[in-house]
Amino acid sequence: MDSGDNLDLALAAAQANAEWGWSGLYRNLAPSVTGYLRAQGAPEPDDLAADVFLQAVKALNRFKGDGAAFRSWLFCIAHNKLIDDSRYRSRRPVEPVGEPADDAAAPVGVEDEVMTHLAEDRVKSLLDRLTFDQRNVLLLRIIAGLTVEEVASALGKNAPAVKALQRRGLACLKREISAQTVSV
Amino acid sequence: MEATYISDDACERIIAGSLGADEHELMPVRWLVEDLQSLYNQPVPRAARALHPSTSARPAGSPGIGYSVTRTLRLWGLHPQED
Repeated sequence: MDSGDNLDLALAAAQANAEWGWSGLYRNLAPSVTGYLRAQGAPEPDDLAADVFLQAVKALNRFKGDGAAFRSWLFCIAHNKLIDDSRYRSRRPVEPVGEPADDAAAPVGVEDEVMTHLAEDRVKSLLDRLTFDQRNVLLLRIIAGLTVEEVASALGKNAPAVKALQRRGLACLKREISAQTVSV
Repeated sequence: MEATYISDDACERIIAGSLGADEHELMPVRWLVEDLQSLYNQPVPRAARALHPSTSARPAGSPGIGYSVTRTLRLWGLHPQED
């Protein structure tokens, strides 16, 4: 049974109010939802991901479709939450407060931790070179694993527009990587 | 700046990790895609704590993440199932 089948089963169970259905949906989709929000620069991606799932719970009775459609719908919610959160924060800027280290996800050694931070800084600096739409499309394709059609549905665009954004985004990344390589 | 064009098919191969041997100039972009996937696909327990802080510390044999999530949702009055 592949992950698509698992998602279909979990969705059907959740729609029938079976507890394991929510467990399956969460286990299947929470990592990529949180990753998408984090890669987009959400200051509190875990909290925002929890909001996304709560919104899905509240609206599930209005959802129609299979597991793949649910994934696309969930990322549509995540995208909208991200925009709402960004608007909210721009109106009410807050002083950042340091948080304790997250031991469950932290690398084992200091060297690993440093390497992870370096890799993340490099990836973020490259993502910053993209437009908002290009970054959105690429993160939904790469982290969320959505197809071109699913991304189009989640963002309210058509497939050719998504392909164009994907093409330009990857070309931009290629140029930036080449420039970094030359400058080093 | 260097002119760059990547076809739609090549975009799909970059994302799928199926570049051909003659497409080595696209490999750095593929490596970036792999970095993105490894950096931003966290295991569930970390994200689950956003919904239920005690999830990561649950003892062996106790209810799993789904139980914690649905229990929390129910406590907040958001889970559709009544018990």
